[in-house]
Amino acid sequence: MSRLSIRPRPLDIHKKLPIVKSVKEFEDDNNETPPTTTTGASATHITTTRNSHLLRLNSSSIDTDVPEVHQVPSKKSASEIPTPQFVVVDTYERDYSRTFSQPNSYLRARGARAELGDFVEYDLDNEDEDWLHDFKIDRKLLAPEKFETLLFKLEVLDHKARERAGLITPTLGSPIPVLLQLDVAIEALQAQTIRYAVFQSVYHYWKEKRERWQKPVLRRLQPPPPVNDTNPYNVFRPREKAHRLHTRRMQRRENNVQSFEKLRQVRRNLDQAKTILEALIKREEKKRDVMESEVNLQRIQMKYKHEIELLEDSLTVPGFPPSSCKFGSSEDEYVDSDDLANSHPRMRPSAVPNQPLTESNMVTVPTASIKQEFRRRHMPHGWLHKLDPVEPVLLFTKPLVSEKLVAVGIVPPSDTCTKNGTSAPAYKFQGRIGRGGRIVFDRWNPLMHTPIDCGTSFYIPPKPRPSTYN
Amino acid sequence: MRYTEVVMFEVDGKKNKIYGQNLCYLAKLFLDHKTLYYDVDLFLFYVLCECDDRVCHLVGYFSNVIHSEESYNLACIFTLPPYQSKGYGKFLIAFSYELSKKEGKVDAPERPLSNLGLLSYRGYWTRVLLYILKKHKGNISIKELSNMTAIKAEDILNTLPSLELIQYRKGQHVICADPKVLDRQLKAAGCGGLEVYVSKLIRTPYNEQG
Repeated sequence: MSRLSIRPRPLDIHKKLPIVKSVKEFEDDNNETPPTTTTGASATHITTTRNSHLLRLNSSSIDTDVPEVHQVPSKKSASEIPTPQFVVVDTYERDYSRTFSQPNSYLRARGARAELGDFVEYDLDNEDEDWLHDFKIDRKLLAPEKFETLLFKLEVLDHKARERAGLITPTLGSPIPVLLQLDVAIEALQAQTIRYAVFQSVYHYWKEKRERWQKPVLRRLQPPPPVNDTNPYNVFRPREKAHRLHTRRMQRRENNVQSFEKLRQVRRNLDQAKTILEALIKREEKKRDVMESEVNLQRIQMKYKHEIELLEDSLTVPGFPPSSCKFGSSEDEYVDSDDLANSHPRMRPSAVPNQPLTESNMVTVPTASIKQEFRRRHMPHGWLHKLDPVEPVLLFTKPLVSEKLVAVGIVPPSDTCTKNGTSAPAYKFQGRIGRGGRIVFDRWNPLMHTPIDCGTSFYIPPKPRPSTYN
Repeated sequence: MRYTEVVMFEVDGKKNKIYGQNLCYLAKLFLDHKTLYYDVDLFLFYVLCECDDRVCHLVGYFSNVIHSEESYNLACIFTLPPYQSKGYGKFLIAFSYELSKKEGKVDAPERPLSNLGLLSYRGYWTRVLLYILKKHKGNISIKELSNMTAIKAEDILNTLPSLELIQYRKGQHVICADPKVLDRQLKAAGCGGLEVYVSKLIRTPYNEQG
């Protein structure tokens, strides 16, 4: 029914919605007729469609002038529905005299009444009345109330007889026979002042009716149809309350050892799950802490490295002399690469040794620092460089350990080519442990004596670099 | 003009089985869709009568399942033809909701609703909700409306959008309560029936041993 063509989001019933009192767009030009429901009627529709024995929406005030007997024909569709006929009952004024007054207190239900008490539960139906009418024509005297009483008592007596014989069924399964015999009935109902012949007629009429009906005539004594009876004309099947509670509660009702053990097991499982989850949380927290520590460490190292540059201006610390240290015999600290054993060796595919380099980055570096860089960065022969203990290790720059490489059979890329004019043999590759423990051989920058495009070549404040940097 | 008083009787189907069954038979004469599949002993019948100085006249009734698990507050509702169009049907619906409110529950009529039942209930829900929206200041959630009226949230969500009172503006839902629009919708829904005087509703919850 909504005019929205798209539904943006389902409505949250807990969220407070603003009430907008006057929205101009709300009054739609199309909205001339009141919105209709899918059943297709506003209040005005309904009075013309269905006929009168249905509830109506438009109401008037209470009509206090309701006559007792005849019915008020419906206003709108009187032409469609025949007005029902009525009969004025001559005993009406006597039966319903104007002496009723509503009691002030609530009416409470009375308890179960005695079966053979004074109250007759049976009412004559049309069949009975017809029979009685015919019977009276034969000038046999029998008052309707008496007839009613007799039929009622016959029913009750027969029920009792069947009860004694153990024939009472909870639901209507098979035809219910009459057990009560005439002489037994006569004896039991001796107190009823009735002539034998009349009684006999009544008895036979009742028995014949019972045989036709195949079940008791008195409704209270009729067993209900079975629950699985599918005949739509059989009504009022019993419904067990326990059956309606179709929930897991039915099982919980069994309070035995088995369910207790089950619950115990459940509890144990839940405790274990809780322990595992707690350990998991701890682990993840530690991981996060480790990560934070690493980040902080890097930050400090960056800062420290930056400060080193300034320091070396004033200090006369010699640049750490290169020494050929292909094999780890020096006392200097070598950064070991623990990841070597685990990492799979991977050569950088771009092993192109003979690239001339555009050194435009040189231009941008202030001269003072270049000197520093040269002094400091003078790389030793070979691709192995030992680590200055105070030189901070930046990310993914752990140098390689030669024996380990040899041990796993990695041959470093060929570095025999030397360029003319360089003071030191320009090795083309600089090895390091890169991201994820990979072994990376960076191309060597002969002029700068640093690996090409290695983020740790020098720490210069970012300056625009040319894009044509091979 | 005789004075007529309106009286409600609560009849337990278990204690008055024949009466309950007969009442169902009577309603079945007029309600084609009514089923009599199950017995009446799990039902309560709320029988409405007009009383004069002769007797209490049966006007209509509604039935409800005792301890309904799906929180239904009405199973079957019926007004005798001579007493229709007098607001008794609406009274019975309102009464059923007042009982729910007394028990602090949010309920709904049993599904499926008949065509006419749906219309009647739409009218009732419209009147109740719009009456609140006309007077309410500030924001309100569907849940709050539900708690105030004992009407289930899904029934509210069926009613308000069909009256085009829920709009989506600036990224959120709003309820449009323009007085002119509300009045128009109220008029279409018809006026209320006989009013339930809640103060006169003194009820103890159903006691099985009682």
